[in-house]
Amino acid sequence: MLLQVLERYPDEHCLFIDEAGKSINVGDVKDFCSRVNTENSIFRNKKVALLFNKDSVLCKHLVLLDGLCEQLVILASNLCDKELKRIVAESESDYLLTDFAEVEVELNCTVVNCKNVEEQTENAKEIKNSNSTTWILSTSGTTGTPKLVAHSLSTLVAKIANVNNKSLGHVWGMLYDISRFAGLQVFLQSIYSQSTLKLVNRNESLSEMIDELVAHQVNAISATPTLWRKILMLNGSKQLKLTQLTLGGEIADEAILKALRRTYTSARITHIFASTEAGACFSVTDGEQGFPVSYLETPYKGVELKIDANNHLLIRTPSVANGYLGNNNLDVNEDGFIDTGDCVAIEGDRVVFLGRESGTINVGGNKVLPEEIERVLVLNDKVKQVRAFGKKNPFTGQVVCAEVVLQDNWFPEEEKTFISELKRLCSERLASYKVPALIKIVDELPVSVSGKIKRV
Amino acid sequence: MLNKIIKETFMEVLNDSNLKLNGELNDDTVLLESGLDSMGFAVLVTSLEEKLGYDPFLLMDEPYYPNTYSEFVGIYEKYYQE
Repeated sequence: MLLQVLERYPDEHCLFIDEAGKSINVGDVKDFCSRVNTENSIFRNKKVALLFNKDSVLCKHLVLLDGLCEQLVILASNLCDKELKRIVAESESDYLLTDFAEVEVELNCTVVNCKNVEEQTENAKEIKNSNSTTWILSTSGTTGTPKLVAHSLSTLVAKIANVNNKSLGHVWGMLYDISRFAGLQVFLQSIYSQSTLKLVNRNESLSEMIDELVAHQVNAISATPTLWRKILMLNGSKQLKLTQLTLGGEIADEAILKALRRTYTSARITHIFASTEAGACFSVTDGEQGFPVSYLETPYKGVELKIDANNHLLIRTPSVANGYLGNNNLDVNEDGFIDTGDCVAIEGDRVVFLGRESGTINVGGNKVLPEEIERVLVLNDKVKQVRAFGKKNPFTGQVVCAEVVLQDNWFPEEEKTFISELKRLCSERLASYKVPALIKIVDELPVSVSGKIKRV
Repeated sequence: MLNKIIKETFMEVLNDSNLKLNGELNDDTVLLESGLDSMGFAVLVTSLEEKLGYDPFLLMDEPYYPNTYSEFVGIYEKYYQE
């Protein structure tokens, strides 16, 4: 339980620095928990969904509820109503706990404002918890609809380093969304390693967030390669004095690693390979792309890695999630290895990542299936066939591109106008990162031996 | 010449993405505050590659992330390909 971890630390240790720059100490959080955690807490053994505007308030409640409730699901504060409803329903949550004044969506659970929770608990007896709370996370949807994945604290923290001398000085900057796996890892890493976590206002620009991190002497940041590229484009980034720099969520190419090594010469650079299902799998700290071939021969910190006949990377690790909610089972083979779906190749003494087998395109950490774009483009009746694919891009890692074959004997009067029409069709139906950056008209599409359109 | 093409394409991408220019687009404009987001920049570089025939970011030995509009144009000028 998180509270048990905090009990090892001195009360004066600063756990969080909130959006306004105020310090929240271990003592403050312990007091909060003992005030609110009582024998008649409505959340005891229940399933609770959390929807918070302010990360600082969310963090306090995570410590409070872990061990108290049966299940927790953290919702992104910018979720659309439809997704909010779906996740609350699928997770079978009994309560939605929130710091928003009003939640105007109709939900099948009781909505509770966190202010009301504190008021209800005066004079009630405090009680010790013992639940092993299930933590529910939403995957980034590599295969279509995002799925809900069940974790326990032990699977989530399996790869987190415990307190060591280096971490005692760390002040982490929270640039990720805590509701996603990566954000949660930073939150947990910070707690388990007795570090401090600087929280920011989600409505600020990246430039303002970076300035805040500089002002509070943040020396550790975890972000996707795309976010790192943006950070490096800001003047404020030069003032950050980092000792720990973590990358994850996308392939970290040589260009970004080189730029980071050059800018932050005192930083330890860690690239984490993780998936929401398998939990944080393994990390590479030599600042080079991919991972050492030696990880295939000797398990790295208990993580076994294999390459199968299709050049897919397989992983076996103790942090494998406890399963998908519902009927979907994790793709685990009989030896307990998970097929990550990542295509890899051995280049010298490194194993490098080539891309996803499904042809999934990774646009700034957002996964896109080519079929989603193809389905939309064929809606235009002048389009006979489409092939969508990823193209390397210096800003987002990859962008979506598409090649279209037009109906026989039909030619647009003005190619440029027709292509704009196709792009507009996409932007009306797809999220901005899925809209092709480039659409080309071609005579035919490359086809593989089996007759399928070639993806890669 | 390059500046003109880049400026035109910048405005085209802004338009297509339904975004608005924040103030003016001049040499000192900070790219990330111009109104164009990451996705917009990704599309801009792709469109420029189509028009100009090269992506200077792919040609660089030393990776460089531009801060202002003039630095961005500068990269294209530096790696200009016939």
